[in-house]
Amino acid sequence: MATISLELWGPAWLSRGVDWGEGAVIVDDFAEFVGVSMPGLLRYGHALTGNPHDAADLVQSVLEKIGSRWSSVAHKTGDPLAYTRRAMANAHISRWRRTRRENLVADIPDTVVTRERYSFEDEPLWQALRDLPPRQRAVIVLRYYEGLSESEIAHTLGVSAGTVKSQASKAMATLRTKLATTVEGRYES
Amino acid sequence: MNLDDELNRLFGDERLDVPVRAGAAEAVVAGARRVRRRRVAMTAAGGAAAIAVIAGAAFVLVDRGPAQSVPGSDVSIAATSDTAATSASAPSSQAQVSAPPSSGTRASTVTKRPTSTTVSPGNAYDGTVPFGPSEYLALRLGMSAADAEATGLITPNVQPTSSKGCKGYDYKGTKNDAMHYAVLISPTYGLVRMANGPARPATPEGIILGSSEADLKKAYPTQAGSHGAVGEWVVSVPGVPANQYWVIVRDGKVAEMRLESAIQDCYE
Repeated sequence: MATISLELWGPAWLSRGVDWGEGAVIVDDFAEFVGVSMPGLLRYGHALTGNPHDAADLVQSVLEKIGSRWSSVAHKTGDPLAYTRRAMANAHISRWRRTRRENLVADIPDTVVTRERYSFEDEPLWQALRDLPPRQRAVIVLRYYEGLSESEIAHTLGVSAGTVKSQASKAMATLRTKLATTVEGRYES
Repeated sequence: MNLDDELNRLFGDERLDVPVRAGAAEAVVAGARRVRRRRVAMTAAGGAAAIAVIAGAAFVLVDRGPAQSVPGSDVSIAATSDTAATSASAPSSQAQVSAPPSSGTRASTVTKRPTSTTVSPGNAYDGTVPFGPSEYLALRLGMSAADAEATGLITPNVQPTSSKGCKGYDYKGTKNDAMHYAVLISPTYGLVRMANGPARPATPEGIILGSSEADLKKAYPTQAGSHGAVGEWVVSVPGVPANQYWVIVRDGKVAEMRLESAIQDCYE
């Protein structure tokens, strides 16, 4: 999976001698964490939210919160990257409003270039995925993008394994139906 | 069709990449400092909301919701001052519900509304109901969940309990997505936030949906805090510092209004 290099990077991060005190070193290390993890997080955010703009917004706001308590996050969680990704999944689900802030983190081209670059948008499966309710979508992303098990997903989202199962099966049924009706034959193989 | 394979292929697609903007890391680090400063300021100001922050770093991180930041540090008035204002204004708001308001009833309840000379021409205020200082329709800040439910105006959201243990509601007849709460009720502080709902709101200072940003800032010149939303303007309710308006401006006009308690434990 495309994110594997970032996952490997986590332990290396932990092995470095880090001053967990309240000093500038914390900020520096957070900056480094952001620098290294940003591409993967934006990609993951794109999968979660369904578009690059919301991905940028999600990554920025979650990282800001994590950075604001960086020493305790890095200290307690042991794996800030996994923690960040889970925080993103939950934040995506619980957003009550999808207003966008000024995007500071992603360089998203406008208009013509966007259309070209994101012709991805026209993929029927991508469209079907985007239409799923946020929680179902998150379950699918955690399952197929993160490769988490049912119980890991349940733990991440703070719901029961039964909920994960039912959300996943609803989501898969919806995806199948949509693909079958919109692109008959396209996925036959 | 093998959907599993298709999903794996999709999530491995390089077009899922989003290019990183130059200076992104610096922007995030600066943002994190800002969030931290706000939190520290709020903790210094006291207030029970600080407990929620300390109690659950994980919740703070996962509950994006409206929880972008914390109320401003200059909001330090005890929640108790709310009670007096609430009980004083409750009867009139009850009356508003049983009889849909005409401009006549509005004038009697919205005492601080500017006189007609300052109101924009036309009938922009016709059919509006008072929004604040503590109430909207029969709902009022601080009321219990039982009382709020008894108004018949609200119905539990698809996800009836928030991640912070508050009860979340939709307005009856307006079903929202999960966790997009129109009304939020804390077990500790009672009703802490209500959005504009089935009836068009007008604040005592004459701000309605569609008011210009200039009028909004003239009526409420001083920001009292921030929730980190786009286009937001968070201000103390004049004369009732325990209450706040959380207004969202889009395209230069007031697009959404919320009435909230300055001290609460349901969101940041």
